[in-house]
Amino acid sequence: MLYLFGNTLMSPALFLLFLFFLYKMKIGKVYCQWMEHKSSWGFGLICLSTYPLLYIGGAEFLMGWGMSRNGSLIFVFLIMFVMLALFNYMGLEEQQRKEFDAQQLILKQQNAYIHTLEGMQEEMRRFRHDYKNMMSGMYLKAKEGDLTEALEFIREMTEDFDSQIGGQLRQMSQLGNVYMSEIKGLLLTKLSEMQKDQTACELEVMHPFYGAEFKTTDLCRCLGILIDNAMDEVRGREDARVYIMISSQEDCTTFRVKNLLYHKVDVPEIWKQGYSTRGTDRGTGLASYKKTVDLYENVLPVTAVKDGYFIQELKIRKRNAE
Amino acid sequence: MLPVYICEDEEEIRRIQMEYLEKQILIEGYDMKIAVCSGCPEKILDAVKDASGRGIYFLDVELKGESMDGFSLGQQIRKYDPRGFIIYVTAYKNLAFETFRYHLEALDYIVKESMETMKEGLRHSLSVITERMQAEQGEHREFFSVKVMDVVKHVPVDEIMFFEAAPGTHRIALHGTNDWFDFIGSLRELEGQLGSRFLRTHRAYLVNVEQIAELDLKGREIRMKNGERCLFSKNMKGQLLERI
Repeated sequence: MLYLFGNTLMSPALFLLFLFFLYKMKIGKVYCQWMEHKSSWGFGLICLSTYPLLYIGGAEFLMGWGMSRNGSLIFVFLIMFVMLALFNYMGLEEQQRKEFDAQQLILKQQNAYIHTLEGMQEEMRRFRHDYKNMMSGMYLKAKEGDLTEALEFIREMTEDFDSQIGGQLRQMSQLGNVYMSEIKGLLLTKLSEMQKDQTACELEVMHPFYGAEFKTTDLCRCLGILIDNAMDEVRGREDARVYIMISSQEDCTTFRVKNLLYHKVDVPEIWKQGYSTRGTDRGTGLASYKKTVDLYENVLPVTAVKDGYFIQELKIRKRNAE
Repeated sequence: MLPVYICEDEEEIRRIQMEYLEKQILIEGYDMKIAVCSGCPEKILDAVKDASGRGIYFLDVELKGESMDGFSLGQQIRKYDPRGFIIYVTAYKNLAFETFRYHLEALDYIVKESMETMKEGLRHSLSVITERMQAEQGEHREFFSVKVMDVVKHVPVDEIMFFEAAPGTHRIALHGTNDWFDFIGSLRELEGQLGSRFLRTHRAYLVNVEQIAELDLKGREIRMKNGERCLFSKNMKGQLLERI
């Protein structure tokens, strides 16, 4: 009776308790982290697959030292348990560190954003001053009846506004359509890098972008590779320019990065490890990009050379779309 | 004769556009005529539904008080006229033209900054369209068209090197001279669609025979004219040697 009770009720109950315990320890997340780090994942895999061997081997070893069978099994189990706890602790610590890093990054990006806005405000203030002067000049010309001069003033003023703050304002309003903070952060970082390199960036986000069915870290990595490649290719050139488009449509989202090509693309080499359009061993290369993209069934990569431009697209289908 | 459609919500600008286009068509002797000139996108769409063949569309981006904007109107027009010429007219310089060009294959955009620039834009568009039409007449290139999610890609058949199937998925990779992209499909269907110019050299490859540069018989590898490589299976060796 007792045996039956133990078998039918106690074992499942213990099993469920164990599962609950694993769930509480957030082991799944920790294991996912192992998967991200190839080396430790390999080590973890070896540990897991040799677990029965280690368990029995350890017990046998202790029995050789004169310990009873049950005692040795419990002892080995305890050792295993301590190891698991240690692993878990390390994993959690790593997770916390990552969260902290991510927060730091967001903080940094927000600072950059505020900095840009402040810069724009300053430009606006300066423009307001010039605008007043221009207006009074125009008023005089109009009063004198010199219509051509007055028209010229208006044209100049529009152009001035466009060149002084129009560009930045445009970029910021496009960026305002990106509601996924990680991507917004990535774009902000790249925009400021481009500003340092004196590369112009034409950013287009016509419809609001809230997110895509693609792991955030992978999306950031892939988009980062594409933008870095484009920046590498045009850096230092006259009228250096990178075009970035994010287009959210009903069924899918398209990320498109375009730049003028100054080198002939070496096609067979392009997908090899460590290759970018600028030459070998530069950046992470398109190979790792392709490898990541291939993991997702709802993501299609497109590469084209058209009218002297190198164009890279990343198309992500929404899962509920056909 | 190419029908010209104008959709512009400001009456005065609409009138100027129509008069100027009519004048230009007359002066240059273009084979075009103004079909509809309206501020209402539905009127344009009704006319497009009834018409056959391609048209020229001058569309305002911001259609105030209407049921759709220029972008949605363009999307609707494309359903009935995939090869028509769409030109956008906008009051703002910051038009997201890459997006318009990408999704709607828009030809150009004109900024209504001043009447002069607008007229110059209209004149330039008409001449570009005429040039395009003339160039197309002389060209008899065969294109391979395939849907990649929400857009249709057109690749000249003589620029395709081979198709590669990814194992375990329905994903096919096109390797070309200027295009490399993945789409969903099957090699068997492509084989039927493309005919004898393409040879199924391997379970995973469908190769454009005209683009083969050389064969590595020992390694059972095909080197294409663009330098890319693919494989052939043992029993295809005879057929391959016969074809090249």
